[in-house]
Amino acid sequence: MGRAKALAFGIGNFMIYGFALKTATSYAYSEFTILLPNYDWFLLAIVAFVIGVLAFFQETDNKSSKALGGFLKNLMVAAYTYLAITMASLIIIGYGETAFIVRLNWGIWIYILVFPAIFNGLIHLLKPFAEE
Amino acid sequence: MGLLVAVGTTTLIVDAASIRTADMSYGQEVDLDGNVHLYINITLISSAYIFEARDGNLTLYLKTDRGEFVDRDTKTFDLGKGESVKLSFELVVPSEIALDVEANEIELLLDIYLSFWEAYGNFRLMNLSVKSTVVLTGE
Repeated sequence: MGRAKALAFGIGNFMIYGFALKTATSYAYSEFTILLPNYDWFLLAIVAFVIGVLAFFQETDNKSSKALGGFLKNLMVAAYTYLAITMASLIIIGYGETAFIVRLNWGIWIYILVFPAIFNGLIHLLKPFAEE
Repeated sequence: MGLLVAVGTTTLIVDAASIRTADMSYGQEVDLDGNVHLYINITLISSAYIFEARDGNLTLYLKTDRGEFVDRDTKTFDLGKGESVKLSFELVVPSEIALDVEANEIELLLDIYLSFWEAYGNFRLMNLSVKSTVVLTGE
């Protein structure tokens, strides 16, 4: 049961990180003509796959693999967040000459965005040993 | 902590999007050389809740539909929460271009560039730059 749960957790993480953003960007384009030219779904899918694999290890019963899996998974989530945010730095709304172009320079806010995932990772690294 | 960051990001984007234009007025004058002076007044209003717009820059860039540069004017601004600022621009269209526009041989396009930092206190958190294009008719 432990492994089945871990596998389900891993697949669930992959589905969420791999497809949620793609679905959202496709919907934004088809309904509101909002385009993210720098959006690279393939790169995000690779990161999502790695997150899924690490999420599997995070849910196993072995303490060390749980700690390390949780830590690395949260680091990859931070990397995913960083990539997704920087890809969303250029937004084009509409077509042609009169298209609305929005550029976002996230400045120091992007580091505030990735900090919770890194902090969570550190907690996951220490938690199994602290419980002991 | 994640929830705080998510709420902060949403507020940042909502506050950035709350800056809007109001009371846009324009006039024109022809000088003795036949050049047309366009006077454009734009009032920016902030309906932000938490963050302020700092180091703002609004540039009007006039060009023809062939991509030829005509004129540009830039104004800087700072907008606190709930504040408004009136910016006045002057663009000069040379007489030869003005005649072509009147004869409907070319069109004038106005590129509007708006850029500012969303700030909290002295911290510049996020920079937003927007470009849009408006077609000016010959009238």
